[in-house]
Amino acid sequence: MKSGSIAIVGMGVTHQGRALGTLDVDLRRQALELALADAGLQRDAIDGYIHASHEREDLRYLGLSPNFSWPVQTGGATAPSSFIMAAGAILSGQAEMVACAYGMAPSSGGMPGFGGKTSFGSLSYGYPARVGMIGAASAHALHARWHMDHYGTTSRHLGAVAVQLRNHALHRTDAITYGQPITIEDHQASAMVVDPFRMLDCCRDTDGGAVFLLTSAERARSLPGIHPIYIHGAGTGHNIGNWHRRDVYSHHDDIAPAAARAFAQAGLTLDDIDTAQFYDPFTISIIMQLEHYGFCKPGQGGPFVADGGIALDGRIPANTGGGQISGFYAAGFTPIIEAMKQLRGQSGPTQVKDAEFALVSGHGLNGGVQNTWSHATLILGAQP
Amino acid sequence: MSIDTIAPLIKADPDAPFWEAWTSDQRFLLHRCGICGRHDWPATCCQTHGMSAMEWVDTPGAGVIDTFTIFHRAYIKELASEVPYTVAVVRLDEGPYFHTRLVGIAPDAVKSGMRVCIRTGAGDAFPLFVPE
Repeated sequence: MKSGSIAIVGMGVTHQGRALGTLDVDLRRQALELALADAGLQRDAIDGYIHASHEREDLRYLGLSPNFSWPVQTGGATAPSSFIMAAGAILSGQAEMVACAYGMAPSSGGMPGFGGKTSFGSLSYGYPARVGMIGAASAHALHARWHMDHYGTTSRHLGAVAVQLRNHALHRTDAITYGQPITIEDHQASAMVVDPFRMLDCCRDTDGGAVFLLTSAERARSLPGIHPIYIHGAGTGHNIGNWHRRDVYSHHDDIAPAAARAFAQAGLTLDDIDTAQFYDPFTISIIMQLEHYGFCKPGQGGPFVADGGIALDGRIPANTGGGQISGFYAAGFTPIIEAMKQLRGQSGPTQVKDAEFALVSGHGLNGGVQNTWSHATLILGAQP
Repeated sequence: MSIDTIAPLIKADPDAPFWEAWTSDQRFLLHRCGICGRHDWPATCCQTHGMSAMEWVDTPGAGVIDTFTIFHRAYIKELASEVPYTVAVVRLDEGPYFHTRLVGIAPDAVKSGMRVCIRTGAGDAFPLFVPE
């Protein structure tokens, strides 16, 4: 993809919170209407639809009539992957304006996780469930234990991540932990869930919708009164390579190929990135991604965060909305939403001054015995 | 909600020979490429030599703990009486990872790098590992 050739011209984000009691399809409808208003467009402008999940009720209920409707489900990498698919549709002439849509209500009981109509079966890791390995926290705890044993990372390093994310979120009215500070002692006293993770190492499910409208940079120029953000680079990596190499737990998906492609497309280096928004379901995710993207040396992610490395005045301000752990969990859209806000200057009390380029990651999907599955990287910019 | 509901063993799938050998006489099989000798588990196509050379072979069922986690919370009711319990990823001596429950050792005594081997003679429905 040529740097800056695709523009994000509309962003619609509903209220994100616990047990809202709203149907997931209504969350998508509400988000769509917010995105259309943001872009100054009507429904008939949308000629492509990508749903970050799968079902067949959306187009009718959302009042859309596109040329295609593609379901995509690759876990936490779904959101950035849907942007890559949208770019492909636009650049191959299949659509001019693609809506990438998300809306889930897991904390209202919409995604039990064990299987069934609306579930991805996300809590069962296949055979390991036979011995009681259940839930994404345990899958990531295996990485955390590996990191501790090999690098000397401590529970207090994990706690430093939790406290830093909360320090971002407590100033943000769009975070579920707004106004609720925590200390490292609070982290150390919180209940052990799956060792080494305590309760405060884990994010919680929240309900919410998000819709983004993507088009060509050329078309974006013809739209009046909008605030477009541009895709400068994108890349993907897959954990199956680590599985075949028998080196799963030192990695957090296969970040290297995703990052290499995204930065090469953008013609940028880490020094050009003003803020990073990582997919962060658990505290170890921040530590390992800081290392694998190269913001610090392998094994140094814990001390890096403890020394203020991801604070607003740190080496790389990261997850400035509190991330998934202290902000809200809109799957892979959480980091995209915050990157958009930063690049539009809408992050309020945690705004990074003059943010021009943002790094976004998506991570996840339950890969059974292989642990996690997919990774995607986006580099977004305030200018084409 | 039971473990059988969320993770049924499907006897007809490509891993069936592994489960049949384990449940019938507690043999621990791995899937091996007859050309390059690489072992894998679960059933895997050799990336170099394809599927035709793959065969199920007997192995001792031993290795080292690569990483582990201790469950302090029961995600389903039938596990409530078992917490805390240890789920470990064993790096088998032949190379593949194998996820299992560690038994015969207190969770707080488990260390990465410990040698462990399969427990036989206990009638385990799933291969469980003990310190060697």
